[in-house]
Amino acid sequence: MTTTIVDAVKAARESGDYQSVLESIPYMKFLGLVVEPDAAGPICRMPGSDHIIGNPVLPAIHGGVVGALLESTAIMHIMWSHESLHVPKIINLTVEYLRSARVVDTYAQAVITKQGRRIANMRVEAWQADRTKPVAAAHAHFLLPREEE
Amino acid sequence: MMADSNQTVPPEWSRFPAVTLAGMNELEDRIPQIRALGIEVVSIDGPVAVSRLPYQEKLVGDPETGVMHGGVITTQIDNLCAVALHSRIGHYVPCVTIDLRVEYLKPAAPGLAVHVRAECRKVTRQVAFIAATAWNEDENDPIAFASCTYMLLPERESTISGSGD
Repeated sequence: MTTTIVDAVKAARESGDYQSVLESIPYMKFLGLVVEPDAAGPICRMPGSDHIIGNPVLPAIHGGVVGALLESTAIMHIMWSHESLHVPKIINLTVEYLRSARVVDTYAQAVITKQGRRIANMRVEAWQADRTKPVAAAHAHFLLPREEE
Repeated sequence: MMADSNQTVPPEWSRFPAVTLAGMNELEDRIPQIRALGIEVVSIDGPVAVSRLPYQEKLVGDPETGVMHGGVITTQIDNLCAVALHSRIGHYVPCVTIDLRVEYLKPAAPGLAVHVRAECRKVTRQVAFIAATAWNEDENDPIAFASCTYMLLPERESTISGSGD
């Protein structure tokens, strides 16, 4: 088993740059996600690209990919907030689709709504040009590792 | 299973192309994200559809375990719920997801394909309710449960480019 991600998270806590953490996770890299630092927690940006399209006629981003962006943002937030050096395991995710997601930059940011010892309750929102008009919102539960090594 | 097989199809839905398994996979192949994930619809039968997604390194969500990212399964489920809805109706009525809940019962096994079965439980003129289960090798040992709500948009023009050709 590689410990690359643990090393990457440790390094990111020193530097404040979480892009290398994200890039050590193949699927987040596959989506082309970019971490933009923010005092309230990482903002994940997903650039518009052909391979994330779910409706080629409109065109619009695939709903599942929007869900994946929300989940990925929650994962990055938990690792950023010093709750885990590892990728936390997801328990459940509920996504509300609010608007059609056009194939442009999509942003997401998470908050921990309740922090237990074993479980984190998360709320995540995704938006495009106008943050006051979210395209999707999710709430999710994650299992936290029992301890930080 | 509680499929609502007694419902009739409103006439305005019949103007959309009729569903076949070959046509469904042709349509899936025109969706860039579905093609990128390599998802194949294995079967459709009334309100029930099954798809398969091969394990791929590029879809890993935890490099320490090799487990695929939950978002990949979310996409497979969301997509197959629309397939089950279309199969249930028998026509490609335009639709959008309004709500999707996924329960991740256990991690997907590294190296193994993910199968999903979706069943459209109820269709009204405007809304459809679909339930789904995901597993690796044994359907009785599921890795995820999901429920999905779609809104039907029969007033919209077909979202199928070049359909019926």
